[in-house]
Amino acid sequence: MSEREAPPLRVIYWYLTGGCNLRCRHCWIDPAFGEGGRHRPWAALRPVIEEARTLGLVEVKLTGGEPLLHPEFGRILADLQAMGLTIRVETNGTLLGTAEARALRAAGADVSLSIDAPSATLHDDLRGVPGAFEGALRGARHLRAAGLPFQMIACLYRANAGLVGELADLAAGLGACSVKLNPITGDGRSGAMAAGGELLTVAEVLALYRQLAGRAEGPVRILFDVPPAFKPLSAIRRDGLGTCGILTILGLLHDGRAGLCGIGEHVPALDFGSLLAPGAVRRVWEGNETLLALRRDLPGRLGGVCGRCLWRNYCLGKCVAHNFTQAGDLLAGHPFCEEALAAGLFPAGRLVEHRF
Amino acid sequence: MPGERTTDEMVVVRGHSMRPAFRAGDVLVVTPVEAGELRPGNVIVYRRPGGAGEVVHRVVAIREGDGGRALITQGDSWPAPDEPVRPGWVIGRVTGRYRDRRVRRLWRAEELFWLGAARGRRAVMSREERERMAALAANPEIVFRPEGDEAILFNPDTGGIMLLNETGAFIYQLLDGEHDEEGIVARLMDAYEVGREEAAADLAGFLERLAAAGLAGEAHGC
Repeated sequence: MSEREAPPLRVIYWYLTGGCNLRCRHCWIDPAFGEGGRHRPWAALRPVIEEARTLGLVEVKLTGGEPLLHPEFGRILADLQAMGLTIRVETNGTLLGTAEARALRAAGADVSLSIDAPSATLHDDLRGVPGAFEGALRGARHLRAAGLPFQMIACLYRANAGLVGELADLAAGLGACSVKLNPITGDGRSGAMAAGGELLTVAEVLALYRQLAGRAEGPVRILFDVPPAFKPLSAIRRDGLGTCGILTILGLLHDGRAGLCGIGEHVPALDFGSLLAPGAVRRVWEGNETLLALRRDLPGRLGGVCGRCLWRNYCLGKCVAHNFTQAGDLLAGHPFCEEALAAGLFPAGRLVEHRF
Repeated sequence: MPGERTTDEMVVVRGHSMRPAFRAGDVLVVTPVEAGELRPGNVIVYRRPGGAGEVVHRVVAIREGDGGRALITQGDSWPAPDEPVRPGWVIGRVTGRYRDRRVRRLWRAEELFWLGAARGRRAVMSREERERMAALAANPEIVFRPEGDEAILFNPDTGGIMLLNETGAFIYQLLDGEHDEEGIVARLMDAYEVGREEAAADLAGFLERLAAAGLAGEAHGC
């Protein structure tokens, strides 16, 4: 009965470059290694952002690849800020100098910087480039010198799972305001890590989550990315559900194409085509068949354990891109939760019968 | 216009503006209503003169101005209200949903729940409305899941959730149709060693919170 069919497009995840100066073994996007090319000039993409603003855009997340490889990164920050948009940036920190830190501060950006281990040996091994750890520390110090609070992100796997306390200490020493722990999921390049037994099992992730939940609150907040089904109410009250607002998000890929999110960079079925022609953003947002199907089917047709979960309508399958990658279906039950259910680790009190 | 419509009508929801309470394809029962009977939380069907068609949106406020009464309506999933709606444009109030060959009547508690949930603001209820809220516990459709001293309320028809803290869980279990307001206040005074005024305020606050689920924001997690 509504005058508009599509929900507002609130957030663009912009994969600014298709390249990266690191070659992380766990990257789910798989950008080309190197520092050159693989981006569009800001002048070509600015109309995309402008058009998205007419559809409700309020926030842009700049990621990649490594977003700071874009030669106009500072200009883009300033222009997005002038448009009144909330800016979030995900970076490996290695290209972050004084000027970049000041530009981020001036733009009021919300920065997440990746540091996976408290030492160079492990971090550089995961990130695939010697010196990555020192580079990330330098970047973090520039952020601190610029007076910009930031979040540290660590990707969890077997080798660093026992080092979370040291990671939190490192974050505190660097002046980070929080540490986000993302268990590596087996998507993209990390499929090889899964095959090699380097990733944590669901049981291990949940055991670590419970162990950390019982830990005394330190100076830095630890945010652990597990699906809401496993979070006690106290954690949900404190940290929120930590779910993805996929129905109001669009991915802008490095070459000016649209994707469900960054997954469109390497999964053709979730590449929604170019946004560079006038009116293309509206055409994709209002007409793309995958987006229309998601709006029709989320959350009511979520399958597997997600269809029986108390949080179905809030969690929306946790990450439909991951569900697609692992199970070939955007509406498949989230693999982590499926595995937990099969292992008897899914909390029975969080299962219900939905009527639609 | 009294007398013009006397029977319920069915309308089919198109679009997403009323998610998650209603979805595209839902068949709703629309009952003729006098504009004076409408209250915030009600979902109405209206047609704006010259507008594209009928709109199903929720009344979020009612204003009395120089031009007479105006209804402020909004889709639950939209960020801003519609242009004010004149009472004469109202076709009816949504009173139920038709599914599986049966009609399920909407509860006032659900209306207030979604009014608060969609906006994240506190609904202000009259004493009469608060008393009606007490019927929530008698509603067998609502699932109560205790977790430790806290609890989750779940509405299986909408998928909506509200978290209850310890006091909330305590009070909710007393909304059993046997305890009246005085009775609940007395139990609260006893259990938490608080005075009558504080206990009554806790109860009133909780009943308002039933209408203002604090969890319905959106976050971006990946």
